Amino acid sequence: MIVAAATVPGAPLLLPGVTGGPVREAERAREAMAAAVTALLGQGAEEIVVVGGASATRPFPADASGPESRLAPTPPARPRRPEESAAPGSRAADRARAAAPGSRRVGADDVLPVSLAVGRSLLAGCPVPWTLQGVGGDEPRDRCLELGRELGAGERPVGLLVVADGSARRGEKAPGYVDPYAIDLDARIGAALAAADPGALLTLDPAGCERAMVAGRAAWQVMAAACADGTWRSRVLYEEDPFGVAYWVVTWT
Amino acid sequence: MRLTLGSRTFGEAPLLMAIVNRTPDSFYDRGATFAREEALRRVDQVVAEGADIVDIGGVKAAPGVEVDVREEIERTAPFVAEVRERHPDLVISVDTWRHEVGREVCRAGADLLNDAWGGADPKLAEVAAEFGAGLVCAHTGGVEPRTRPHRVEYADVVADVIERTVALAERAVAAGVPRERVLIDPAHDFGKNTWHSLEVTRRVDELVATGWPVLVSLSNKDFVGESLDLPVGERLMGTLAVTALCAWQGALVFRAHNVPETRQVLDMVAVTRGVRPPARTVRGLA
Repeated sequence: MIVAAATVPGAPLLLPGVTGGPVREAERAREAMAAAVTALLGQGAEEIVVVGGASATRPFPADASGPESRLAPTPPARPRRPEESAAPGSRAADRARAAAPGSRRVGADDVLPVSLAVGRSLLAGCPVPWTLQGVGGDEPRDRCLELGRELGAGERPVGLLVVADGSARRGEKAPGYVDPYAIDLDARIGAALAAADPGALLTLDPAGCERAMVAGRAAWQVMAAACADGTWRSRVLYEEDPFGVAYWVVTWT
Repeated sequence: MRLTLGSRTFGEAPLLMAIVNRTPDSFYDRGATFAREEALRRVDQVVAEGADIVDIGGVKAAPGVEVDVREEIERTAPFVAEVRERHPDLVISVDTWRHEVGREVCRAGADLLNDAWGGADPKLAEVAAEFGAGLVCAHTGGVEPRTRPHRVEYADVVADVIERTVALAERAVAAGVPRERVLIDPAHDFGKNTWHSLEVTRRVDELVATGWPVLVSLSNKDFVGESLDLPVGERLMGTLAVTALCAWQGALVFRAHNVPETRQVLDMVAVTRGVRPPARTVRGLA
């Protein structure tokens, strides 16, 4: 049973440490994201399920290694020789593994997708158990519906933490440059989130979202299906596009 | 293997490739040398300032106004012919990913095709082979030309750079490009975030160890700007710092906007490395 849901952005720069020095825009977003988690817990959630875009639909282990070393490589700790500094789970260990013959590339499946890593980063010190659920970014609507219904089916009060972003094509400096279509699409997404309208999220078209570089369509459709039976009061805690990508922090309680 | 470009064969001392943009909208010069006369003046100037190579570009790298093949040829090929006429021994490079453009600029006298988009048009190597021109094989992580990196991840960015650029280089040689005329370029900022570009900078020696001559293009780029939180016009010092680091590790060709400053840094590093004699040493020696 879903008792509350929240959607938060999943940009790599929202992972602790990835911006290097503090970046004001990212700090603001993270404050809103932390408030959203507090809101989930405030509704009596006894478990948090994080849902985020992944290469495939599957749960991820809570202690999966994060994508930080893939996104923001840093120099190895001295001494440099990997066998002397490769504590398990450390970046040096990642590097040693990456350097081993025959396994030079760490398969994408071994590493947490950024979305779930961002979600996990919000749950440090969380007083209730939590799990990480990946949803394939290109899953068709029906599969998203199925997964959403499953997540909403149990008796236990669940808080859903959805990690999803709007278009990355919102201006000349945006990662995907300009697409006027993206602005309209984001307006629809923003309105659906603000109105706590699961039905409107379910109308998002996968092909159109892909064209507009919307990274959150599948996760939002899982959220919509999981929340389809309730009536919700929405609160928009954050709605900005500081880097040309649309970010929202919205709670449904 | 010694790098050969045009009729010149180079040793270990680093080479300076000066950027000459025939574009109205490139990020650093913002159209300063779009006009023919300004561009010719720029070439004369950078040669006088010690550039070994000029790199002529007709399309800005970032997304923006579409420039079709015909327009790109018009911006570059007649200009290459004119530069060749004025500077018969200068090594002329053209920054393009399109084979149609490559063909016309080679006809006009270009010695090197700087394929900054990592083989997006595989026929470019065939054109280089046909004309006996050189080729720069760059790493973009597989992105389309004129796109920005977005949420890119690498298990090991340097391993990916080496794997892809060496494969492109071997492919170019198989297509008939003379081996001594092929370079590899990790392409800072292309398909990379700042952390990735910094990692490549720290580990350029691993690229050098492949044996292929390494070109780096660092000049005023975003990874410098983000490292120091400085806008485009204030990145020279940062650029020179990473220029020195790459030169120290053995990178050979440095693509740059600021020629006199870069020349001085490269010469100083070359002297320190012992691949160039000091200009004049009398101190304590009299």
